[in-house]
Amino acid sequence: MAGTERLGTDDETRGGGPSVLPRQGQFDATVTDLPLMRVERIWNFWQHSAVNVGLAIATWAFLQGAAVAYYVGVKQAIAAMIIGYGISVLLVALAPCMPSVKHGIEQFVGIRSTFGERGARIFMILVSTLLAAAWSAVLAIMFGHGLVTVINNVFGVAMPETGVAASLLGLIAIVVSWAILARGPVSVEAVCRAIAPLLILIVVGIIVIVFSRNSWSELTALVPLGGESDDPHLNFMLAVELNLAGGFAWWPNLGNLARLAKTPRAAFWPNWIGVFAASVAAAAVGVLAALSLQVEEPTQWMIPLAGVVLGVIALIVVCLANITAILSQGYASMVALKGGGGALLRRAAWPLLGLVILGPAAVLVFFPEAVYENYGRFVSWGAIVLAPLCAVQFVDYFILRHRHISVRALYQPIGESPYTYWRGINLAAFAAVAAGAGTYALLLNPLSYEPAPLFRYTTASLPAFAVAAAAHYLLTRLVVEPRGLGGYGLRPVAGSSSRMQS
Amino acid sequence: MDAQILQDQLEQRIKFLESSNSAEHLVGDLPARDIVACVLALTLMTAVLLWWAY
Repeated sequence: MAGTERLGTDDETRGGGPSVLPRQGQFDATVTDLPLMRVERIWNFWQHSAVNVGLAIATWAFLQGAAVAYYVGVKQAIAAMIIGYGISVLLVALAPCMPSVKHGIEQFVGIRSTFGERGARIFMILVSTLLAAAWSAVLAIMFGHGLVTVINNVFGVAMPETGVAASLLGLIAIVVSWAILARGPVSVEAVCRAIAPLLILIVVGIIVIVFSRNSWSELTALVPLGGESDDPHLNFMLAVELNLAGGFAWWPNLGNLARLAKTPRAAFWPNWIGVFAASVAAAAVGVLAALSLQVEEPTQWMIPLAGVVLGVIALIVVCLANITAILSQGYASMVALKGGGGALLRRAAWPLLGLVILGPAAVLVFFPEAVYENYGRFVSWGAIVLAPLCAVQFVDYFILRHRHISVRALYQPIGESPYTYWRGINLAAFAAVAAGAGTYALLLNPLSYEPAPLFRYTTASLPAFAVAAAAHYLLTRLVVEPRGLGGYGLRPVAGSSSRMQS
Repeated sequence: MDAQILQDQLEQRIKFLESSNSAEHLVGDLPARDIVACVLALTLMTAVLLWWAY
């Protein structure tokens, strides 16, 4: 077999089965949707943490901080971020990450057990590629804005930040990201590891500068960017919702990163160091900077805060951090496409897959009003689908399946697999997601961002999660299981953690 | 990548995972105490923050 080598007989190998696992460098399963063996996992706790921090402390965290600062002041912003991110990061660190790390499965392959093969493909295309392209465009536009500011200050010119120059620089960010991604996940990890410490330094630097110029009481007295509100409680709940949505936005990325971790703890806890603590810290810095300067645009903070020289250096690092964030989520989406995109994409070369993800982003950078200038609503659009999706996956894996999935069944064709449901689609799971999404839209209008009266007590993401979870549980117990669909009766055979029987 | 190589690899990997020593190829479950610790810490932190920020 090309690319593999027989390593030993059944008795000689640790697994007890016929061993044709490849030697390192001959067959890289991390760039396929194949289940990874334990020996193939490449990230320990600290390596996963470095990637996670690199992913978290990008300018999207600063954007998040600025969006929150629009509604509330410093103290309520910090509370809203910790509460909102804490709840949603806990859920996304469990639902997609735990099945992926346990079985080494790509996360969209994993949700075939919940949604069916065709259903998983629908979500993969909707969630992974569209959102990845949109987020990449946001980051690339920020990269363009930042670099225009750098050029203006270094060369004494006055290019407009929102002009064609910024879009062209954003396009360069996309091209560079594609060139690095084409080399695979090891290069992603190396770039993130180099940038993460510099980003932490910048975050700490901004905190020091802001606090050296303002006392705590002065900072807490600052009014939100949107001005004083008649209903501060509603504004606080909107800020919590923004952060819940921000946390759920990590759903498409985290499972495939956790898949590369060596232990369940190395898959779970780095999310708390990265997408929780680092995100909250960076967003809190964004809140402090935005409120103290009364400026919402993050690329306009660095030079007023740190002076031209340090400000330009900080901006360059932040621009590079945007690249690391594009890389991390680009990798996750490419693995997803490889696994769930059908025969055509399965055969596609790794660089071509990068083009599928980043190609739409290269177009979107020329339309910044579509995503970048409507950040709050854009995050909310993601949460409408992602919160219920996370709920259905959580209930299915942890409650209905008791953390057992048949890896063989995930890869069996429609008709043969117990996860076939109705022609490859679990209509019950889709109905549950729709119920959750409808709940969200009733509580917080995704177009006008107008909240319903009940929103001030519940937020929108949490009821959407709860409704989707309850709907999936009930529909599965009442409709799916009685028809013998979904393999919910399968349990592991004694002595094997993965072989299943009724 | 050759589809046949991928198919062969998949078959071999599933055999490993379904073998009697599959635990050596799988990563285990996250201990329940880790999840409980997270939930408790989050609940406590939320209560403290709501008291502090209001």
